[in-house]
Amino acid sequence: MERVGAIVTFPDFERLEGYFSSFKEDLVAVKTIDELNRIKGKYLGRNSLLGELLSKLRELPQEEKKKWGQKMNMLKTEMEDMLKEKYHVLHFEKEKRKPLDITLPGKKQWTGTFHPVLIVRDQILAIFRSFGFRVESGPEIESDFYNFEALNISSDHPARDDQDSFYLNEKWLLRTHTSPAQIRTMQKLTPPFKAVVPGRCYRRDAFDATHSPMFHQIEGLVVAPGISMGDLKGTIEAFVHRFFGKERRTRFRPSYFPFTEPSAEVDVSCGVCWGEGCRACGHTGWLEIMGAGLVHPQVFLNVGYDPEVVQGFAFGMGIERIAMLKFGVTDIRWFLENDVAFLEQFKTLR
Amino acid sequence: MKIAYSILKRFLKGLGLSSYELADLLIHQGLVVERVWGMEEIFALPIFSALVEERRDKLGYTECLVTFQDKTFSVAVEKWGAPSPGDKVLITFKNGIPHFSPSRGEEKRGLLPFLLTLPENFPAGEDVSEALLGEDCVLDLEITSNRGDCLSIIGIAREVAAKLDLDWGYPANCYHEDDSSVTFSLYDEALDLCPYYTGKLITHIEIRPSSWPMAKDLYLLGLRPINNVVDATNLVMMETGQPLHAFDASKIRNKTVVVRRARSGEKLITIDGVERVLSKEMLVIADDSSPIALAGIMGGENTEVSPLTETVFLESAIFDRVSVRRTSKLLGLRTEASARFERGVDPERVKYASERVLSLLSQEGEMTVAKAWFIAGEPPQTERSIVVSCQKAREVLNCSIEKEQMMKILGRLGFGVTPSQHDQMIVDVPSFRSDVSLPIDIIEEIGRINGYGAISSRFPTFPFDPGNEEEEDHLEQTIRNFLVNRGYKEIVTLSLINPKTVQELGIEDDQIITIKNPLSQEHSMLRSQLLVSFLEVLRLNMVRERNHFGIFEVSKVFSPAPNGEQSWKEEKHLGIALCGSLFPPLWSKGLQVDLYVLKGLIEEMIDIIGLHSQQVIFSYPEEEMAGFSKVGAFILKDPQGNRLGWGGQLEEKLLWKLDIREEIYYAELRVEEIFRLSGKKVLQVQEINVFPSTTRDISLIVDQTITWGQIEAVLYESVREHQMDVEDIGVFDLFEGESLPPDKKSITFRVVFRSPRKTLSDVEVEYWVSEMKKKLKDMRGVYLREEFFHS
Ligand SMILES: [Zn+2]
Repeated sequence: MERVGAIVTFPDFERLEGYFSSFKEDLVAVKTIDELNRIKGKYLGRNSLLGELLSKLRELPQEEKKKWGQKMNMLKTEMEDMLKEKYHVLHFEKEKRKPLDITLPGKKQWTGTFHPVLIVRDQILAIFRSFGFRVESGPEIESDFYNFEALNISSDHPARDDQDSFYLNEKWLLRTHTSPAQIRTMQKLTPPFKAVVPGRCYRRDAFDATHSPMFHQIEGLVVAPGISMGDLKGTIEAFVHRFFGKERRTRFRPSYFPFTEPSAEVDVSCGVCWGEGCRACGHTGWLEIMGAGLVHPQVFLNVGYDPEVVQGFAFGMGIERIAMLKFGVTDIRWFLENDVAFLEQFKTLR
Repeated sequence: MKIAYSILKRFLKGLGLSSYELADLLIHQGLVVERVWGMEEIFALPIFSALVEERRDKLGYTECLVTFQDKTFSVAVEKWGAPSPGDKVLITFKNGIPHFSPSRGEEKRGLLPFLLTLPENFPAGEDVSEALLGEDCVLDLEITSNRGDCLSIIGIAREVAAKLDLDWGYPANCYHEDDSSVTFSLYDEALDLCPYYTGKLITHIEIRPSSWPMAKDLYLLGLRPINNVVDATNLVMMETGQPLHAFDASKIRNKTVVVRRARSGEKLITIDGVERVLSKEMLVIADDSSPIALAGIMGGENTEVSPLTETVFLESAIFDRVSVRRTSKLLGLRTEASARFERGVDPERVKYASERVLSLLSQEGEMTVAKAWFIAGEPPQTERSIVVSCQKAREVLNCSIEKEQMMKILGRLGFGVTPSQHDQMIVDVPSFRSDVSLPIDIIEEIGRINGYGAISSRFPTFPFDPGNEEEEDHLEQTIRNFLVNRGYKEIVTLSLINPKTVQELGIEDDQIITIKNPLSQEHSMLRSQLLVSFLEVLRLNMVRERNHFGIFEVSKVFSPAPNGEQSWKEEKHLGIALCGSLFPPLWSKGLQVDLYVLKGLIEEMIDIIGLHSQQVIFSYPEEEMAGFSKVGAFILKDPQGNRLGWGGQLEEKLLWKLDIREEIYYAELRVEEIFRLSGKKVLQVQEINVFPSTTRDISLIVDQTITWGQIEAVLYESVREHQMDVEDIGVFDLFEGESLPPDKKSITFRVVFRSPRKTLSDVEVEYWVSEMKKKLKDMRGVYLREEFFHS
C-alpha cells in the first residue's frame, strides 16, 4: 500500500472507484465467517485505504472535504450493509448444519407451591373479606375459661367428651377449636361487626385417615342487632356458591353446640355424584362442611353484651376437611407429611 | 343409639314411612342417622334353624345334641339354659364351624349360658335370617349430648310424631301383684346425689333364657340377650331411657339397701369382673355392710342375677348427672346406663319403667311380685313455664309461621302450650326436656320441627366497615408469595414434637412446654423452634429420594414466658430449608445450593419488605449453635443486637442420625420482630438517573481474617466523607491459591459511580478512587494488589 508524504492528492480519492468493485469480488468469494471478518478488516479496518483516506479527510480544502466526506460515508454504509447481509447468509448456513435441539428440556428452576391447607384457608378468608368481614386472630394456648367456660361448656358438660384436650396444666390447654376467638373478638370489637378467625386447633385424637391431633379451623362471628337464622343461611349460602360453585346446593339441619342456639350443621351437595350418593359422600349425597348457629344468650352475657340488644351468628369449619373434599385427598396425614411430590401437585393454585 | 322400625311402631300409631324416609325425617330434625341397617348387616352370617335331638344331663352342665341337615353337633350348655328335645335353635357357620349364638356370645369354659329357642313355625334346617327380620330395619343414630331424652325409643317416637302429626304414647302396663308382706329396708343417705330411689321386689321368678321375640328385640337394638330379667331391664331402658338394675335379692345382706357415698378405699367387683377401688365422691348402692352396685353405672358381681336367683330387687332411680359422669370418668367405665344418667333421665317415668319391666316379665312366664314399693326421696320438680313471643320466633327463624302451627309442634313434642295475649304463648316444659330453659330453646324446637329449609335466606345489612388488613399479615403474605415465586414449597408441620429429637439437638429443656396428657411420647412437647419439625420433613423426602427442593413454613413456636402475667409466649417464625441443586443437574450443569444461596434469599426478603441491609445484620454466633456446622453458621441481629434469626449449614453428625446424606442449609427468622423493624413505609419514587456511569475495579490482597464486610464498611465511610456519587459496590472476584501466600486472599471489587446531576469527569472519579485506596491502605492486613507484588 502507498503511503507517501503528508500531502493528500485527489488521485488517492479517485482510487476509491476500483476499491468498491474489488470489495464486491472478494465478498462473493467468501465462504466462512472468518473469511468475512478478514474482508471486513481489509476494506473497512483502520489500515485499509478507506480508513486511511478518512483520517486524511481533514487535510482537504473545505469544499473537497465535504464532497469526499459524503461520498466515503455512503460507500462505507453500503459496504457495511453488504457485509451484514453476507454474515446473515453465512450464519444461517452454519445454523442449518448444526441446529439447536429445541426439544431438550429447558433449565427449569424449582416450582414453588403454597400448602393446600393454607390455599384453602386463604381462599376462604378472601371470600369473607369480600363480604366485609374482618380477619382476627387468637392464641393457640388458651385458658379453660376461653376454650370452654365462656362458651357455655362447663367442666362437667358431656360436650367436653367430643373435644378431648391436650392440657399444659390445670388451667391452660391447646385450644380445641377456634371458638374461643369468638369471646376474644367480642371483647375486642364493638358491635356491629363481622369477623373471621383462622387458626390451628388441637385435639387428643390419634392419627388416622380422617383424624389428626392438629388441624386448622376458621371461625366466623357476626354480631349486630336483629341478626337471625336467615342472615346465617344467606351468608353461608353465598359462601358455598363462591367457594364450591354456583351449582352446589346447601342444606341446613338442626344440631347442638353449647354456645349456639339454635344450632345447625351445614351440608353441601356432593360434587362427585351431584346428590345421587357415592363413596365420597358416604352414599348420602351430602358433605358436612361446618357447624353454625345463633350466638347463645349466655355467651353474650359472659362477655357483658346484652342479648336483648344484640344478636349474632357464628360458624366454624375444619379447613383440612374442606381441602380433602375440594382436592379429593383421602388421607389427612398427607397434609402434615409434606412430601414435596404431593405438594407439587398444587402448583397451579397461587 | 340403634332403633328398630318394628319397636318404634309400638310407641307410634300409624307410622307408615319407608326406612329411608324415616332416616331423612330424623336427619332434618337434628338426629344424625349414621347408618340404615338392613338384615344382612345385623346378622352378618345367614342364620339357620336346627333341631334339638337330645338333652343329656351331665355334672354341672347339659349336653345338647343338635342336628342340622343330617349332621349332629354336640353343645355344652348351662343346665338352666338347655332347650328340650324338639325345640328349634339358631345355628350359624363361621369357616365351617357351627356357632349357636348369632352374636359374640360369652362362652365360659366352652360352655354356652343358654340356647335360644326359635318359634314353632320355623322349619328346621333352613336359612331363616330373612324370615327373622321380615320388613324390619334398624337405624343407627348419633344423639347430640343435650338430648338425653332421645336415647330412648319413646324420645324418637315423639320426634317423629311432632313432624308427622301422629299420636305417640307409652304402652299400658299389666302384671299381677300379691299382698304378701315383705320386709325390706331402704335408706337414701345421699339425697343430693340420688334424689329419688324406687325398689320393687319380685318374690319368685325362674331365671330363663328370654323368649325369641324379646331376644330378637335386643339383637336389633344392638344388645346381647343374657336372661329374662336382665333382658327385660335392658329392653325397658332402650324403650324409655330409664336405666334399671336387677339385684339378686337373696344376696342383699339383712335385706337392707343403702344409697350412700363410697368409703375411701372400698372395693367392688363389677359384673364385668373388674375390681374397682372406690373413693369418697362416688355414689354406691350398698347393703348393710358393703357396696353392691356403682350407682347408675354398673352392678356388682356379688348380687348379680344368676340362674339360681329366685327373688329380684328391681331398682329404678334418679342419680345426679355430674356425679355419674365424674365417677364414670374416674373409673374409665362408660355404660349405656351412665350415658343416660349423664344426660338426664325423665323423673316422671321412674316408676313406670319398673312397671314396664314387670309387665314384660309377666308375659315371659310365671312370677310373683310384692305390692309394696320401696321409695326414698321424690321425683325432682322440673316444672317451668316459659313465655315465648311468637313474633320473636318469626324474627329469629326469619320465616312466617302461624301461632297455631307453633303450638301444634310444641304440643306434639310433649310441651304444654297456653296461648297468651299479644302474640305470646306460655310453654310448660315437660319433665323429660331438661335441656330447655330459655325462650330461645323453645324457638329452636319450633325451627327444628318446622324445618330449617323454611328459613328464608338474606344477607345481613350492615354499616360500611373498611376492614382491617394488618400490616403484619400483609408482610407475611408478601414473604409467602415471594418464596413460592422463588420456587419454594410451603409446608405445614405438627406443632407437637418428640422430646427425643429435642434431646439430640441439645435444646435446653426449660425452653420447652410439655403436654401433661400426651397421646404418645412422640408428640408430647410444644416446639420452641421450627427446626425439629423441618428435620422430619427433610428425612421423609430424602427417604423417598426427593433431593432437590426448598421448603418453608410460617408458624408459631411456643415458650414459657419469663414470669409474665400470661404464662406462655407464642411467636411466629419463618423456617427455610434448601438442599440439592437449583436446576436439575441432568444434561446441563446444575447449580448446587450453598450458604450464599440461602443468604441471598434472606437478603432479598429483607429488601422487599423495605428494610436496609444495615437493619438486619449477619454476624457470627457467640457460641456454637446446636445442630449447625461450626463454619457457616450465622446469627441475624438488629442494630441494637437483638436476635432476629439464625441459620447455616446443618451439622453432618445430626443429619447422619436421620440418614440424610445431603447438604442442608437452614434458616429460621423471627418474622414478627423483623416486621416490627419494617414499620410503615411511604414509597417515594426517585428521578430516573440518565447520566452515564463510570466503573472502576480495585484489586486487594488481604489477610484471610479480613472480611468483605470490613472492607465494605471502610469504603462506605469514605463515600460518606467525600460525598461520592456511588451507585453500587460489588465483589466480582475472590481468589486464593498458589500465586498468593497461604495467609492471603485476593479480592477484586467493582465500584459504579453515577451522579444524578451530571456526567462525572475522569478527574473526579480518579480522585475518589484514590481516596478509597488511601483509606483501604490504612487498614491492617489490606494491600493494594499493584503495591503488594512490588513491595
Ligand atoms: Zn357423592
